Amino acid sequence: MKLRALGRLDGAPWRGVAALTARELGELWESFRFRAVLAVIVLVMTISAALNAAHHHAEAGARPEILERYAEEIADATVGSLADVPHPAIKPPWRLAFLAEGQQRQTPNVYRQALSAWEVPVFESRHRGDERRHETEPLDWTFVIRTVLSLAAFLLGYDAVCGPRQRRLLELTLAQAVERWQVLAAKLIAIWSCLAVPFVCGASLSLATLALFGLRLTGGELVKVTLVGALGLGAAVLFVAVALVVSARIREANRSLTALALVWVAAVVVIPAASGLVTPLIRPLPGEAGDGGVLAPEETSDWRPPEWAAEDDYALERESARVHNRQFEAAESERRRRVEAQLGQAALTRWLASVSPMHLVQESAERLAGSGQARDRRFVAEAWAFREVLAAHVRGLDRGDPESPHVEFFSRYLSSRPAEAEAVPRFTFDEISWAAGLRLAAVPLAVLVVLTLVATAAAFLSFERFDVRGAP
Amino acid sequence: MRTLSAIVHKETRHHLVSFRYLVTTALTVVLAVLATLAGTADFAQRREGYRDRLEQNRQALEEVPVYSYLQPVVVRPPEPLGIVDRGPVGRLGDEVVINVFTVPAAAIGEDRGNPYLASFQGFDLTTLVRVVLGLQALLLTFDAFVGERDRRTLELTLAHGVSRRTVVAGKYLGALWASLAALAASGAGGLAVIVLWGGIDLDAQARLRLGVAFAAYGAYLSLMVLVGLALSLAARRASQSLAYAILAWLVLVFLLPSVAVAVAAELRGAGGEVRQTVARLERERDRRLDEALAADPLRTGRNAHSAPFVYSTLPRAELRRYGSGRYYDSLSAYHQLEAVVGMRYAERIFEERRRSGRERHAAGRAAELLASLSPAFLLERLTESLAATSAADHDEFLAACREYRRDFIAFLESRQAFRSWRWFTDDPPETRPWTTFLGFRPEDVDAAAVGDLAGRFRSPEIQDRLRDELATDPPLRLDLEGLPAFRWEAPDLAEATRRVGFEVALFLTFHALLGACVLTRFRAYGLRGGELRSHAR
Amino acid sequence: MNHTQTNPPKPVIEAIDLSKRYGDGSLALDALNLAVRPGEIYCLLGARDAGKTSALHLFLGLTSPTAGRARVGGVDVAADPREARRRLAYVMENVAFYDTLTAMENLEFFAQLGGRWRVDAGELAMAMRSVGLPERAFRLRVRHFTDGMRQKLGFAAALVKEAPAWLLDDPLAGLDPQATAELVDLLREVRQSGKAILLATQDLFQARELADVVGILKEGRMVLTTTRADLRYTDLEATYLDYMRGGFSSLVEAMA
Repeated sequence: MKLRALGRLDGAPWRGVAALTARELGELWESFRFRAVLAVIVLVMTISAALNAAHHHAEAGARPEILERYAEEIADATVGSLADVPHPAIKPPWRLAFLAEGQQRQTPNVYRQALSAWEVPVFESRHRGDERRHETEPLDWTFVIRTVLSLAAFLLGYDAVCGPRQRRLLELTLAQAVERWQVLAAKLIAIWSCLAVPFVCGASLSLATLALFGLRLTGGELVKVTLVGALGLGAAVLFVAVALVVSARIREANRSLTALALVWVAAVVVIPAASGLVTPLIRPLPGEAGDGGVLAPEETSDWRPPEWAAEDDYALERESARVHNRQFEAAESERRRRVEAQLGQAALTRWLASVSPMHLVQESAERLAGSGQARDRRFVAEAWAFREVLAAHVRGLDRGDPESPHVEFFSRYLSSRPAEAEAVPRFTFDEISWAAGLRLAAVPLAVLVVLTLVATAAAFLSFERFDVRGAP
Repeated sequence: MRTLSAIVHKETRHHLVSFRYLVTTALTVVLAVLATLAGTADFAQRREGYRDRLEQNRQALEEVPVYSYLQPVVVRPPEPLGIVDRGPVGRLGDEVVINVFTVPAAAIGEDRGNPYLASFQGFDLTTLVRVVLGLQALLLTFDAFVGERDRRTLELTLAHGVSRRTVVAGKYLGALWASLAALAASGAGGLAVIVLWGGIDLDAQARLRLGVAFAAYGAYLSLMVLVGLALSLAARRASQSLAYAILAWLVLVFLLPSVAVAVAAELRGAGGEVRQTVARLERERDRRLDEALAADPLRTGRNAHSAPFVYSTLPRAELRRYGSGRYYDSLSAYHQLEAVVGMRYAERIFEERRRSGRERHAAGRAAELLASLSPAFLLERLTESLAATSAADHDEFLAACREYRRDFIAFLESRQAFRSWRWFTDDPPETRPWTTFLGFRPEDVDAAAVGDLAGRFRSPEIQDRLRDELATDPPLRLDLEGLPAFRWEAPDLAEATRRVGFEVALFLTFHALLGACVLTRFRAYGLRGGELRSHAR
Repeated sequence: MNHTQTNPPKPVIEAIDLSKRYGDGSLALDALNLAVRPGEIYCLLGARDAGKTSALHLFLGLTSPTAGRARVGGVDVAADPREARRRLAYVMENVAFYDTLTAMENLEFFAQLGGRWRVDAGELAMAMRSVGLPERAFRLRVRHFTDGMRQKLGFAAALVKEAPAWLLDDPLAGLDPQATAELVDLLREVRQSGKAILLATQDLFQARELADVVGILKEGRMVLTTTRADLRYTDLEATYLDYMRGGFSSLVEAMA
């Protein structure tokens, strides 16, 4: 028999990788594991898109109710009564909840504030939902990346090196003229592909489902979707690299998966929960802020009916107003300090939880999407700033009435002229742009990139040292 | 029997020394101690908060001057077994203000912590058992049959004349004992923290409930062991079985409950319609009351009879001073009507809320049934009920609040509070209308002169006299002897178990089904890669 | 071929004081010396854990020696393992192939790894025929192969590679007599074609039948090397068992 001479492989190391990758992919493609991973990822992403779209529709529909009541309240208002009406600042329903929900259904979304010092401004969580339901994770792309994709990577990769069949095949493969790095690169690419394909399919179906529910994404939102999708694909590399490191270091396949499963439990469940337990100890919240601004009867200052108080140009009332306003400012400052403390505590918790790569992925996704704490902070800042806008408007109207006593902001001592409801400023909320989100996510993304590089290097190093002998 | 015990002994020993068992058990014990520490600290804080609020409420009641201000605040004590399962009570509130004009349908005081930490709620013992020990049970059993078949030891065992039923029973019991040992170790760690460090004294009922909760944990682990055994019979290779096990764990513990609960929540909606109905009823009530108030001009506007001081810091609660007897009689008539109308509308509003709640609950029931396929979900329902931290326990608390409100109204009626001036003023029967401070009787003052008089009344000298008088007057506090006290106790064990009868039945059904499935499948289980079938017993 | 001929051809497979101690301290090989020449079958005989597989792995560059050198076709394995592997065809015990591929596809894949990106299907078929695989098996998925068919396919893959040296790790273990006979014939043909074959086995009967040179390995040390000529006069079985039991006296008598 006559066979041709051996070809040389030197000039095309990547051809070897390509051949090996195709083989690995062939193996994985036909396995039950891959099919299960494909089904789970696609199903969860599609269902979550449907649920989130339905929820968004319902919340957006519910919004007019709050504003309807507000419109009724200011319909026949005078300039003075505008000071007593609680003006709502509403954080709009989060359109990209399917992408990174970021606690937006739990954190406060309404800020009701009246200009009067007698009314306590309050943040409320008025979400469409059922408080009686069990606590579960919100179903979004971030959940899929953090929870399902990571476990899928471990499931597909735990025996990539140390599995008994894999080991024997490895022996035969390495006996050929291939380098170890080629073999490992092929495994990494193949397993990553088996995650990327379901993820991209799920993402496409997810977007199609949203379109079906009438949720049309803007250009900026599509950029965010792309960024988070890319994050998911990048995170998959990290997860696969971790699986390969463990597979190369632990010689028994069952132990390898046990170790990876426990790593998963620690990263996904334990570390975030533990950080929530530890943070209040490190940075406790200040005590409850007093109500302030609403005086007990014994503290009633001097208020006369306007027609009487006009005699001395409302001298007593001005003094009373100063007292009340000062008390209100002090109380409001305390309240704001408390909110800042809450946000600070939450930020610390997130940083502690970011010891877990899975949580770091979540944090990055929320920042890229403009969700999570960044969105909460923005809402708080803009809601507080809205007070000035309202004050300026009412002040302007009041100053325009020469007969008004101008005692800000006490309804009976302001202008009694009718106020045009349409002219009252309404709160608008600007979502975080994709560019700003990218800036916010720069640090966690950089950490993720470093982690991925380290894990990949560790995988290659471990595989270089891997002994293909059977388990003792 | 001896054969069975030999197999059980072998299996248990095999598990106890395995890497996967040792690592998962160690992790669980550490986490159990941490979780209990955190839960105990949280309970201690809640208990302190509860005692503070009780004291605050008691002091506030002592200073109440008029019946309309009498709005006792009822606080639910924290449940010590909330350390084991937090349940949804934290989100539902534990404080209810008892008010004649509102039938309690919801509580306030929900998690006074940080709303921005909603998704970092920590974990309790139930979560630990669900997640980590559930995983352990699957890891112990995924290769129970398929692994032995590959090693040919199954063949050897059966060749010694051991029946297949004995083999199944031996593997099941062996894995179960090992799981229960891990549970006992973590439970011991947790209990030690509760009793020794937390200093929490559990009464007999609580101890009994805790015991039953641990029995529920055991039942859950038993079910997961059966799931693992079933998967081991379904797979062709050990590696395939392990993959099945991990996927089953992901789906049963995480995905199924999350998806089902999310779907149920969407189907339930937010009750926006009921809010609109309630708002309409409230407007209707207020309109009727405004009309009634305006029926007597004495009650509206400023006149020589009406009280110049009206303090109002609570809903529909007023304290008036220095009005005339005629004025107060007129006001009393109004407040009697207000009480009747207010209570009637309160009942209607409550009925609307209850009806809407029932409809919403029914809407999501089917989706929640889907979650009931998950043993982890069933376990949560069971332990919440045993720990008295479930939504049903919250409903019981609200029902007790409503019962207390009825007693409170009966108390007010016994004092004829609604008919009395004392509903809205602590002025004595020989009241001093404000005009008398200026030397006039109200009936002698012209309407035109009221403004001028009122201005003089606000003069600093008069105001100083008023302050002095108020300071020297004996404190006019309500006599609250006979005011009913609110008592709340979590339902007893029998009631708690009865409430989760469906979940218990499902647990038993799943056990029976899985057990039968494993036995049946193993009878036909081939010993050579599943290709050659041996029906030997 | 008689290795005592003057100017014998250069060895294709060579071990010079080759030693291997693993990380756990176990000494797998202790100063192994052997040489396999073209057209020669060198049989490395020894019990399980004698160090046979470790020796083969050292030649394959799958593990690195603690001391000494391994050379294949003149190439130092430690210096250039890939080049060394190009000169080697490897057949292992319970050879592993991709179950989801057919025999033809498996051969094609491993040929590609060997650097042959375009392989003639006719050549692959010829290789399979020469190892005795039936035609119907060519396009059959390997998961349906028996153990004997898998081993034959392993031999076919080695044939396709056309390497000057073969490493065999107990390739006939557990096979039925017919398959064994066919593969033994094949090995003779391969030897005839000028390949250098290093066969590691526990089966002394195979060694007696096939080997031109026998080396007995015990606990990592080569305790005896003997040739075919000497084998005719030596009761290999008694000698081997004697060694396994630790007796040296019969060896001295046998060699006297």
